[in-house]
Amino acid sequence: MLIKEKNKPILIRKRCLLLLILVIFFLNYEIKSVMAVPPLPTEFYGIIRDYNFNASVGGVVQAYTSNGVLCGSFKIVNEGYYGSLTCRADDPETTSIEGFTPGEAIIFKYKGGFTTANGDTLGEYGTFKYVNLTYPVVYCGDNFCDALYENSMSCLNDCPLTNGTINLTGNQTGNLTNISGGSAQGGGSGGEKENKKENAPREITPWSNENYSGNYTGQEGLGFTCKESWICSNWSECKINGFQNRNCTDKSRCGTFETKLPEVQKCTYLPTCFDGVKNGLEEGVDCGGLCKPCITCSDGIQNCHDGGCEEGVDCGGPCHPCPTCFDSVQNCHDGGCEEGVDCGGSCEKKCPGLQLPTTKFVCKKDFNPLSNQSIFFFLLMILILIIGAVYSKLKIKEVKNNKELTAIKRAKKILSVRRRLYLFIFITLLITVILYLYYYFFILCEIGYPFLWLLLALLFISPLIIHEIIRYLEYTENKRLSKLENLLNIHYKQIENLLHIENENLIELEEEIADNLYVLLEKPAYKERNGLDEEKLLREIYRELVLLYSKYKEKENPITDEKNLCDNIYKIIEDEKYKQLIEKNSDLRALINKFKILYKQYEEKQNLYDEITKIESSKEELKEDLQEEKKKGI
Amino acid sequence: MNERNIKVEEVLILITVICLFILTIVVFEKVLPSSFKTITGEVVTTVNVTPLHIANCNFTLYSGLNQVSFFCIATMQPVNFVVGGLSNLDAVFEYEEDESDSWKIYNPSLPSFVVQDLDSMSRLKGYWIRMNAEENFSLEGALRIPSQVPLSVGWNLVGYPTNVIKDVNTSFASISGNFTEVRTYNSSSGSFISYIPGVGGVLNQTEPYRGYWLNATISGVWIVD
Repeated sequence: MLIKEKNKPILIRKRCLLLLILVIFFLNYEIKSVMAVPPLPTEFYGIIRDYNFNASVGGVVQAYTSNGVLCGSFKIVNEGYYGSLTCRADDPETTSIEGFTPGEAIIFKYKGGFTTANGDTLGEYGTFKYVNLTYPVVYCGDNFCDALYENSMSCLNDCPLTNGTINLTGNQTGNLTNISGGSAQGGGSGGEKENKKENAPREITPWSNENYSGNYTGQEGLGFTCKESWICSNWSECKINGFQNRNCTDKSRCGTFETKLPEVQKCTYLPTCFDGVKNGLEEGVDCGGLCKPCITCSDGIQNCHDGGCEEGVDCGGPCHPCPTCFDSVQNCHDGGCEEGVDCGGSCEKKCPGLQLPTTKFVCKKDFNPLSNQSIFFFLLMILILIIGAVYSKLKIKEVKNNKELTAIKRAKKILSVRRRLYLFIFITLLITVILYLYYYFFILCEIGYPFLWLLLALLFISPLIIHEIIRYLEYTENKRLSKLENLLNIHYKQIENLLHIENENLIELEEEIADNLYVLLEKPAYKERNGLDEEKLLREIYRELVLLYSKYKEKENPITDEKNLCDNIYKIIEDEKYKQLIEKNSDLRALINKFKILYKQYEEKQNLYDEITKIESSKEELKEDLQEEKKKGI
Repeated sequence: MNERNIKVEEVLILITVICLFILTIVVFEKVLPSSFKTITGEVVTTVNVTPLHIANCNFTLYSGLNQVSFFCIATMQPVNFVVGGLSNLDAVFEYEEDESDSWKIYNPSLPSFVVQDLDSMSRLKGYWIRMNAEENFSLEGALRIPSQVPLSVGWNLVGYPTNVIKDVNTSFASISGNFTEVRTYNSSSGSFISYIPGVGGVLNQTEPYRGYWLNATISGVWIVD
């Protein structure tokens, strides 16, 4: 227990330490979070002078941190100016030093040598700093009189006095102002022009001072004369600015420049394809002419140039903007062509109304099926059509020969086969057209997209057309059935009329026969035979004749009575017993002949009855079909 | 018309419809894949199709630094077109890892002799914009989705080319395992917020108009839809 009590403060301390470590870790993490991403750079810009002249195009300005780390560089594009030179900052998360730390002074070099910087050279995140540079570093005793920083007052060594009096404020001040190039904001070009004007008629001697024009006589008073002995290195290669230089040193170290040879001279620069400047026959910087082809906005390739990358082939980025759905021009892009100005095609916005594509239709292959492979396809389709037609023809023939079917059913079957044939022909032709269009636009010509609407329209319309065709065919059949019904009705009426006429004839004939029969039966010879079979039969016939006569008069069709009469007449004509009787009796013979005529009349009437029965059954059948069609809503 | 005939007709129609349907599919397969040929006379160019939707950018730029992106820039636009209307603009910075010069700048107040290397702006990039005073930014444009944001190894200042707020896990699903950290700058607080895969962080959703620092472990493409 005691040990535990003793250890308690240690444990607390340990926990506190752990907590502290954790806090430090999180703090550290938070700091890292803020600082770890690449920090914003410092951008430097300003005037740059090279031996009292504007620095030339192509010269490189480099920025270094105080540790000697190169943090940025800039190739001069405007004579006498540099910038914006990006000097990157150091990423504190990495171990290496990539650039400046805030507040660190930046050192500038030009042509590999140090420069004198005039301005705020401290590196700070995301700032723009105006710093003027002078090359080489100006210091008193460098044997060069810098027009901006030195004069005979500040550095007599570099800027010796002229013969006579010292001009303190006059020419010297004026010339210095001219050379400096005016203000940074816009006087650069003016300064450049003035500089050129000032220097134009003279030989370029960068070491010369504007006011240094006489002999240096300071040492003459001491009683000796120092003889200059200048030795110069070879001329450098002609530079792109049209000058070449060399270094000259005075072996005698007189400190005078009476006989100093020029260190810079004009020369003819021979352009190359890698000098970073557009010259010679070049169409761009180091490209075109005798060099490699230039990357331009018209080279037919999507590439990067002029500080940007094209977004499409020869458009976007450094080139003219790529065609879009908002450029107020009807054009092609994103795999399609606009149907109107900024609408239709690849644009989301639809064009008002129907606008047909305006793309020019060009198909390299022949449309004619005879001259391309599609002829086989057409032959196949024709074969299919012929087979379909022949099959239907045979089917119709078969139906026609089928005597089991009623006329109406036969007609209906034939119509159905014909309808199917028409439908088959139509669908086959439709598929042929669609397939050929597809083959033509998408396989043969390979330019289908602008004409896609044609195929799609056909595809969408086809089911509707088929539906309409079926409807039409069904309607036609319905019409035919109605027509048939009308014909049957007419026929029925005609038969009825015939029956009526037949009845009229029968009335006359029956009246005549009945009269004759009455006369015969009233004869004494027949009265004696009262009760015999023949007398009974004849009386029966007579009664039936009278009954039928009365019924015909009442315009009835007494089929059963007619049938009974016919049976009796048949009996008397065909029975052997009556035959002998008829042969013996001449009156009866004449009557029997009339019976035969009557019998024939009844037979004909029976045919009319049969016809009427058939018509009635057909009418029933038709009526049912029509009712069915009506139920379907056709 | 008997039932048998009706059935035959129905079968015929069905066959026709099936034929037409198959043909339609074939046609669509032929003409509407993900990329297709643009026929303009003779030149045949393959172009990726990304649909455009009209979309405008409207947000506030705070005084000082803002890390932003513009989803409404459908195609690259000149820098003047995008930020030329801002009266309080100080400077725009774009970052792209490069040995010589990783930063591109645009500063309208610099003298004319200064070469400004940022000349165009894209929806795929993130930008630092420094403002002298708060100002509302407004730009009419279009949304192009999906967008493919290229990533190189190391830090990338990327844009967020969509107008939809998303959960970070959903947003960076296409590059899952290929980045170590994402950060964005909160202009109002003046600090970064971050998200580390597997650990989390204050940054839990990606928002339109923001630019993001993304530390990629391999070069690839971040797909934003």
